[in-house]
Amino acid sequence: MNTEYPQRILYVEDEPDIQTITRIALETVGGFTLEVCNSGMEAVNKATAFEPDLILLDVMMPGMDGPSTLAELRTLQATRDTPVIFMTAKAQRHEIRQYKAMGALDVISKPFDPMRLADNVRSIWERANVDH
Amino acid sequence: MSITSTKVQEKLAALQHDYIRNLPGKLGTITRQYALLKSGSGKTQALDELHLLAHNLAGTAGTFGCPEISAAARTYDELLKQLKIQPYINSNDMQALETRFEILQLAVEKTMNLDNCTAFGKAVP
Repeated sequence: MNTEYPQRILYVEDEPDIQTITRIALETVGGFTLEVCNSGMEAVNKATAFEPDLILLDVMMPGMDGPSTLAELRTLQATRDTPVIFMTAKAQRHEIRQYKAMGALDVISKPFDPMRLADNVRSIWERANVDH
Repeated sequence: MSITSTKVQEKLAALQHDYIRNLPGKLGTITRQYALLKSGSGKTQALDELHLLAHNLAGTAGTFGCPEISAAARTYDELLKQLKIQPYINSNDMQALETRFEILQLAVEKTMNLDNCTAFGKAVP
């Protein structure tokens, strides 16, 4: 895993309100470059061209959910090894373990503080680098 | 506080205002899905849709600084999650759903009347 902080984040979320606030939190506050996708399918279609450093993936989405999207993204050359963080509304402990077993660095719980989300993403990235 | 930070806070406050204004519409969507579930037409799909709506509301309300709504939506979400794995839904389950929805409605009404969503991004305890 790259030890520098990620710059380009592929963000997959179907909820427009959360999309808007996350965009402010990560672009305006955090300084990241964000590609927002409304669905797992859109993420799969955009991933190769965008070449993300990190994927931020909502768990519960209509159609292709977060874990299914991750499985599809892992079949693409561009995102085969790209670190992933799941976002979900209050996951239970066994679900967090399950997401990590799928290869996620960590899980960010919703609700989140928009002023701290970027710091949270960077902390997870740092921790993952220490662990590897 | 820097100018950028102030501008971000202003932007977030405006988003919060819009979010609160749109809450009755979100409840209306939940009510329509519940009616579909109750009528028995497309039960699995109605339950899935209802669960997604409750789950999203739990996440968004807390992020938009409305912890009371988030907590009420969370209990509704948890019940729906449980019902999805049950082989069937009985009248007691439907009653429990209605009760939890009423609590959610009250939380929304209280929030809108008192305009008490001020702690932006405050997590639900």
